[in-house]
Amino acid sequence: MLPDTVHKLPREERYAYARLLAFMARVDNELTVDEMAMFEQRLGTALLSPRQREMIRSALKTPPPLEECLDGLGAEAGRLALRDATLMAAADGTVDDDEREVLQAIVDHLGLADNSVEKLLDWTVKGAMWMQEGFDLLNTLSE
Amino acid sequence: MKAVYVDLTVDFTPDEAQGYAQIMIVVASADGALVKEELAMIEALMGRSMMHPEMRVDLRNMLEKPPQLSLVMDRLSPIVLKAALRDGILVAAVDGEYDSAEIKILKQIAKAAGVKKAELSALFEWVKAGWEWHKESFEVLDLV
Repeated sequence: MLPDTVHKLPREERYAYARLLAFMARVDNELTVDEMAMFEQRLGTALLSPRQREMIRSALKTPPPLEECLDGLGAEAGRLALRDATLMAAADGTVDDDEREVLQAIVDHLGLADNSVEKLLDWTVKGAMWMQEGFDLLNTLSE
Repeated sequence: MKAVYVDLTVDFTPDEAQGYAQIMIVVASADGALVKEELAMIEALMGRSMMHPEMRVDLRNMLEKPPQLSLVMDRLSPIVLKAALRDGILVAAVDGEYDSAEIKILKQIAKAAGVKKAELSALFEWVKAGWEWHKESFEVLDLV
């Protein structure tokens, strides 16, 4: 939701980024409203064309294999996809073992430090607190 | 960790959602130049509120000719205006600086929503904190 660089990536990589998020959304075999809201928000940030969004939404029903998603990602796109996959995994309030395994597989594929998942989860928790502060602020504004 | 991703905008009626997004368009267009970052932010907010794809098409068509702010605000409740104010600040901030025309519009929205000056300042501070949080991700990912 904040200033980002996803929209600056080449079109094909933005598409690959979104496919990875579609894969992530289905890792635990359920798609919650929180995950869907997060997913739609990231599709918007990626400035995909309406047609690409339709294709990505259908990828939610039959997600592509992880390896196929990773193949289309360059170094920067891969890192941004890892970050946003972490947000997706945590969107429903918990990160289960399957989701953690996929995040670690992405880290391994990108050749990042072993503690990257933990660092991103810490960052995600901070973000959740920031978002909560935003809701709290709205609730306390004058009538 | 508590799930916080479903925003109150998800529960808006179609008319409220449309008005909310129209305000985002007005804010983004305030300084005369609609940059890609603002567009990405508006698309993200429309996505986050899970707006119907057809409504998004209608709203994109308004980017060329933004609606009149007062007419949009007149039909919205204070809670929708407050959410629009919060997210309007995000839209205004996205290109790196607040333009005076954007500030003027945000103050108009705050007034219509009954938001006091100190509360408006708190919202600006919240956006600043969010920027800092988001920037941290680039450091974690070694993208700086």
